[in-house]
Amino acid sequence: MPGPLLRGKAAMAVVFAVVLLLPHILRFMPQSDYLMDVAITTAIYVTLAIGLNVTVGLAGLLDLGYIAFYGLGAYAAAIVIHGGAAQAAVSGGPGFWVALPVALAVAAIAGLAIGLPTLRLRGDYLAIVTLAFGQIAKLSENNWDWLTNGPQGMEVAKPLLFGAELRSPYVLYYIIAVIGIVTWACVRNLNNSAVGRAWVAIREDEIAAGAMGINVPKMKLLAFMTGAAFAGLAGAFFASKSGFISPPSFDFIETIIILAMVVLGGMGSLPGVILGGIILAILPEFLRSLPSILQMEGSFDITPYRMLIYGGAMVLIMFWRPEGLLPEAHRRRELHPNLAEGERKPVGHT
Amino acid sequence: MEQRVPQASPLLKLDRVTMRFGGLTAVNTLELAVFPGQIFSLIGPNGAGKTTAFNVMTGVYTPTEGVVAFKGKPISGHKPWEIAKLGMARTFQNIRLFGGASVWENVAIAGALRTHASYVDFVGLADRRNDLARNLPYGQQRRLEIARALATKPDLLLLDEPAAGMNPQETEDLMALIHRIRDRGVTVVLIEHDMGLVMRISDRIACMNFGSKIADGTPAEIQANAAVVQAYLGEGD
Repeated sequence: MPGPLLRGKAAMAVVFAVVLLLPHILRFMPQSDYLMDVAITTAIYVTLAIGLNVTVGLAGLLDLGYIAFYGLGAYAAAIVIHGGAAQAAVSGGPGFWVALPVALAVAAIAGLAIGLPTLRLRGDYLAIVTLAFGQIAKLSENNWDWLTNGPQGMEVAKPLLFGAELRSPYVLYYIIAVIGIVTWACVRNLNNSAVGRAWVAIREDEIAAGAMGINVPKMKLLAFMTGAAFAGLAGAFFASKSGFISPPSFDFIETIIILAMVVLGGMGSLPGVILGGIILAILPEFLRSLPSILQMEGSFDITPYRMLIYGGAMVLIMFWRPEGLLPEAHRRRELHPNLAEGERKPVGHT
Repeated sequence: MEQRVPQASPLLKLDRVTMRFGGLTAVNTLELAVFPGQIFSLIGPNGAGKTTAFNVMTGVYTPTEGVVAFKGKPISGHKPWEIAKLGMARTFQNIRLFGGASVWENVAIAGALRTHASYVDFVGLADRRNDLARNLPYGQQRRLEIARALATKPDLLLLDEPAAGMNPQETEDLMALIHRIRDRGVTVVLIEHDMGLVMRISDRIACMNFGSKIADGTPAEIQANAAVVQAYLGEGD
């Protein structure tokens, strides 16, 4: 019987293999372009879920404006690629590969900007302020016509590599896969370090954390900025991959969906939020194609019930496993106190 | 109990410290000097300002007036984590553990990642090391708070009512534990209502009432002090 560590390593190897081989599998399936698009969207959501998990799951800071960082990253990238403000006469920007780090920086600075004034806020109050921040970001995108072209949205050029436009979904998939894996690796290393332990302490009791020598404001800002930075990366990719962005893509409901991925997968658990992201990103698409899979297209139109089933599935999972699908050790023990103790993992190791 | 002779310079010194909240003066021109190696107790009726004094010492509050000095350097206005890093640790009157983390994780978070077992052992919780902090009985939670504070390797440990809610046997064990802490070279300041414990364990005692210090001396001196007796029992007719 292999130990939990070995099983974890084996599971990780399988996941990596699936991530790397997925396009080669989907290539041979019917509607492979559509399936690749679902895979890319799923990878974006997983990246976002890992990022939001830092703020909400690890540090315990409920951020309801998270999608704003994704939007800011997307617009920052669009403007860099365009070479200037949307309505300014410009002659082309430096392209996707420059836009990527710029988007990361813009989102991280925005994370700092929202983190600084909210350092003293907790729980519901923090949620309300971040919610407002998300709305402000979206309204700015919608109304700052000169910079963002307002509701008409912005055209964004595809990434270039050695002068060739990267249009193939297979190439785009590997770009977002790398972004996702980098995000995962960074968050995992942070979480297994003193930073991760500090986040746990702040989540559990801020005053006690301070008394133990943990620099609470610094660690909170780091959580905000880390989460925001990866959302910015994902936003830049989304902008360039889609070729077009407009404010409705960065609506409040997106934050809620990402939050649902985090909660459903298991707050604070890295494998959990990845699984939550995959399930909630794929489920609506799966429901969309369910009638054709069951070969009953004519007899039953599932479209009106699609989101109902989606919501119902979330409710059922929360009933069945309130701690999430792959919960963090702490939360599992909290909600199932009579479970046998077999945990020997260091704090924050997920 | 052997009487510790004060050394030249105090480890912790409060110089005319006042803490006001609006119109309420919770601590009024408080003067304290705690010397290295002492077990120092702060007593007084409920609402006397003892915990506020702790919060001023540990940086939770910045004093309205006066100076707190630790190891000879002023620390008033420093943040709690800065003061913790200078070597001051504390426990809380209303226990503030990382409840969702296990016993040993609480200690590891405080800085003893590799040596957590020795601290858990030191306070006698070795057999509960994997239990969730919030599932421990009250007395053990208090001991865990002490272990967590010790894990930050302090020179000064502030204990806010460590015996509260403990039965006589647990209080005896706590007293032995505080002695062992002092024997490790950690100076201890204690807020405590259990007078039996305070009188037996303290090298020096200060008594507060309505924010002000009304007495300061050895246990024998405090017991004989009329103002202290009056503060606790009220004025006779």
